[in-house]
Amino acid sequence: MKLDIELNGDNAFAIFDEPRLDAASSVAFRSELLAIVPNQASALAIDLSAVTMIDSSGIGALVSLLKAVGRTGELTLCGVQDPVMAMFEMTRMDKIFSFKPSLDR
Amino acid sequence: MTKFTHLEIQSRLENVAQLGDAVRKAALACGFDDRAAFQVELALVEAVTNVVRHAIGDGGEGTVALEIREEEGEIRLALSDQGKAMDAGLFDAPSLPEIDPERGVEAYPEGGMGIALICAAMDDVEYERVDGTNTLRLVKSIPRPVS
Repeated sequence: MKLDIELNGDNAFAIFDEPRLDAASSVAFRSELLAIVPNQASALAIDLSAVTMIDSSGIGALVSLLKAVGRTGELTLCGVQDPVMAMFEMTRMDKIFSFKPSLDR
Repeated sequence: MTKFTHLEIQSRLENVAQLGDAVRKAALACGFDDRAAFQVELALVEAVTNVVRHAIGDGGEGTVALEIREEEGEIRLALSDQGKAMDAGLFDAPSLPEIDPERGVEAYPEGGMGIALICAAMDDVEYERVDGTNTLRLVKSIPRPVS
């Protein structure tokens, strides 16, 4: 799994450079980022622009991260492709995540 | 024109992508748009992941077989395995979670959405177990414009 993480003060930026956030990749994705939030950073932005497939395991990993950042932190999903956005809409998770067109550092 | 494709994988999570990629390509070839083709792949990926995790086991002895039938405007998938039987009742009107942003973040589900997603993504979902073989049939058609 290719996941690059950069820390800048209280902000973490992650680039998930894989086409699939699914049952095969989401366990490592989740555990690597849970090592960052909330202890090393309270705000996390994840670039998902390479992702063409996300399944319920992938969405579940993102929900875990949302719980980890809590009410005081921030989780932003960047560059989500349109077909992948269909998954967020089907699960109504589009209402609970923050989205940005690209990763701003 | 009808096209049939038969694929088979060993029961491992890292192999699910092979079937997903093939189904996405087939859905696009049938004329589905990018979002609908994503949904067809999503349904298949959720179904295969269920088989690998619950019917055979990740890395377990057994294969998952997929038949893809492509027609103009319609795709039919038949997924079969000889693993444990599924509870057929799981496919009776499953629903996706209600998300209320006003509720605390702890209320949001992290799992258990797979079957509801399969049913939401496809037009028709049928499960049967005959002589020790599980078969899940998934069908999706492109809606015809109202004339």
